[in-house]
This record gives sequence, structure tokens and C-alpha cells, in this order.
Amino acid sequence: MQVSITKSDNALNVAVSERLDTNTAPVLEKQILDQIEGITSLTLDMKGLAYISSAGLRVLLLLHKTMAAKGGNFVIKYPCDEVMEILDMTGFSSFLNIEE
Amino acid sequence: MSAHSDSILLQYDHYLPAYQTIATFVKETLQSFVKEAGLLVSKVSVRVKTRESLAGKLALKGDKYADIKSITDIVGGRIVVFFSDHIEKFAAKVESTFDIDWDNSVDKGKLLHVDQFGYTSLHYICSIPEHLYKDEGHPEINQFKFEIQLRTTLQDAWANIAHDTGYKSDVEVPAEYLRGLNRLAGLLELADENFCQIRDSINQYRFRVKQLVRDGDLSAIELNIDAFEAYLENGGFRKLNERIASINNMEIEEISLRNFLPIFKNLGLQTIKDLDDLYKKYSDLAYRFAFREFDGKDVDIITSATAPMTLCVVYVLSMGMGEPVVKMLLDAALGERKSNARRAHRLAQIGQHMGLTKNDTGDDDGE
Repeated sequence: MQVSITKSDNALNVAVSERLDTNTAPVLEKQILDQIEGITSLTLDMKGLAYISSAGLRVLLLLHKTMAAKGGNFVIKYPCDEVMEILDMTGFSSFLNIEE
Repeated sequence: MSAHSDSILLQYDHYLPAYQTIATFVKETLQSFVKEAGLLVSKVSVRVKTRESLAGKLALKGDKYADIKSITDIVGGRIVVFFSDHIEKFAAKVESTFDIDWDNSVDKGKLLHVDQFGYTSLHYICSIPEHLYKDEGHPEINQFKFEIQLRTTLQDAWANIAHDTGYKSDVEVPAEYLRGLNRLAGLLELADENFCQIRDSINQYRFRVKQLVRDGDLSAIELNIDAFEAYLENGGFRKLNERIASINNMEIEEISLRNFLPIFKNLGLQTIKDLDDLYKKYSDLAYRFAFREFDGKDVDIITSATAPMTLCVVYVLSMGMGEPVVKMLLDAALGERKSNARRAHRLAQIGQHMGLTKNDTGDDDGE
């Protein structure tokens, strides 16, 4: 998994690529949570992400809840067809803010 | 301006910090009333009368006041409520919290004769008791009086508009306009009363719907948001979600299902019984459909939207409505997205493999 994080004012933009699975999901979760204080806008760019497992879905759920609790905004951008299929199948696409 | 009025204005300048302290305390206290009551109100406001406004008042009736202490509306607080029966709840809090000058406090509604309409608002002249706030250096804070008004939004609108006529009291208003203003006050009083009745009726309806759903008496219940939520609270799609979750020993994340109400209504369901009949008739099919989706997939979490979504898809395909309607369903549930067409195609393929629909997917085979 490759992660690139840029922070400006109260916005955190995270680009994640390759695989988000049992091994990598906790790493991504920690990297984002470590910088989330004061953040009101979180964007997760999934353009380069080829696979997401349930562990990855749980990170998305945690980030959604964390941002919602502070009235912030969480947007997922550009998931590939395979990742989108998982988000649809599990019903995650019905509550996550997704830009294709 | 008389010398007496000038002297009162000088007192105002001297005591302005004390009045500001009172205003801050009153505002915090009124806000705490609202928070404790857990009621939604239109407005909580507190203001200190400006020097210009006081000068205007003194110019009109300065002789009436002995000193600044005898003017009781230098600080004015107001709670504006949506429902007239909330006034008494806040009235009780005001009476039990502040020292009330009963001789000068008025329930304007009670001042009116039974054959009169007019401004009905509750005005309290209060002071802050020492056990609530005390500043040894400024004993006047407990001596100065202030006014608290409790009114409804409609009373507030009436008072603001009536005040905007430029007349300071009923006596000044020409009779023909006074009649019009009072007629409107009567109308608003009636509206305030009706709003309370409508709110009570809605609450009673919700309670009745919950009972009917709980008792399984579903046929008479119109499919609306109250009935739908009662149905969900009563178990709704839980069993189907649990069956689907068992396919991969999946965890179910509960999410709001409110967005499915318009979808079910668009499918032609009119009562909760229609919904329950659909649920009972298509549950097994929906489970088998979900099994084809989830079996062998590396997924161990779903949301509670899985059951209603799968039910809708299975119903649409079974009724021969096909892939375009499945896409419309996804657009309605998820918002219009590029991926909905691809997803609809995939779902229609599963339906075709299950024999729910003839091949309208454009494929000879699917998975």
C-alpha cells in the first residue's frame, strides 16, 4: 500500500493505492487518525486502489463516523470498478459520500 | 429634556456595566432553561436598552420615574416559543429562579376582557436573588429590576408589526387600525391553539401507529414515514439481514433506511401490510439472491440496507421490470452514479441466472 497525505488548514487529502486489506488497513487508519485533529474536510483518493477488504471497509466506517461526529465532511474519490462493486454490494455506498 | 431626565441618563451611564452584567447572567440563565426543558424554541434574546432609546422614553414620560432603579426594562430578556403551552413551562422556571415583582408583572392575556383580543404575552419584572449571583462591590446588581417576556412566535410577530406602526400604546392607535390589529391578534391566538392541537394529534397518531404495528394490525396503516419507522423499530428487515449476514458470518452495520420509503411507495405499496406481504413473499428469494452475491466473497461486513435493497431488486426482477428499472432503483437509493448502470447489469445477470427474468441483460451468460 502506498499512502500520500497532504494537509492544508483544516483539510486532509489522502491518496491510497494498491491494496487496503487486513495488513494495510490498520496502517492507513493510524496515519489518518494521527493527523485528524482540527480537520473538518477529509478526502480519500482511491484512484490507485485495486482492492479493498472488510478491514478496509471498517476503516472507511470509522473515518465516516469520526468526521460525522465533529460535523465534518468525508469524501471518497475515484474508486475503481472492483472497489465500487464491493462498496455497492455491502451497502457502504448508501451512506458514504462517493465521487466517481 | 428636563434636568430630571438628564440626571437619570447620567445614572444610566454610571450603572451601564452593572446592567451588562445582569444581561449576561439573564441570557445564560434563559439558555439553561431551554436546554433543561429540552424544547425547541424560536429565539432566546437579551438586550440592554440603548442610551438613545432610554432618552426617547424619558422624553415621553420622564416624570413617571423617580430614578434609574424605577425603570424596569433597561434589561429585557425574551424567550419566543413555537407552542403556546410551552410558555407555562418557562414561566414556572422564571418564577422559581428569579425574585418576581408581582405587583408589576403582567399576564397580558389575563388583562384582556373575555370579549377582547389583543396582545397576549407574559411579562415578568424580576431581580436576581443573591443566592444566584452576588458581587460585593456591586450590590445594585441584585437591586435593579429587569423584564422577561415569554411569547409565541405568532405573538412575537404581532407585537413587532404592531410596534412598527409607530404607536407606543393602544391608546395612540386610531380606532379603525386598532380594530384590525386586534382582529389579527384573535386570529393568531386561534392559530397558536391549533398548532398545539395539531402537534398533539401527530403525537397521538405516532403512538397509535406504533401500537398497531406492534400488534400486527397492519392493513389499516398507510405507508408513511411514521409507519415505516415503527415497522423498522418492530424488527422490519432484521431477520432477512441476519440470514444474509450468516452467509459469510458477516457483521451488520445499522444505518438509516428512511430513503427506502419513497422507493417502496414508487413500487406501488400503499400500506404497511403491502410492505409486510412483499417482505414475506420475497424473503427467501432475496436470501438466495444474496447468497449468489456474497458466497465465497472476502467480505465480512454489510449494512442494514442490504435486506431492503435485495428485496426491492428481487421484486423488480420477478415482476419482469428488468435491468432499466433496477438502475432506476439504484439511482433512487444511492443517487445517480455512473456505477449504477454497471451494478444494475450485474444484478440483472444474477436474476437471470436464478430464472427470475428472461435474458434482457444483453449477455448470453453472465458471471
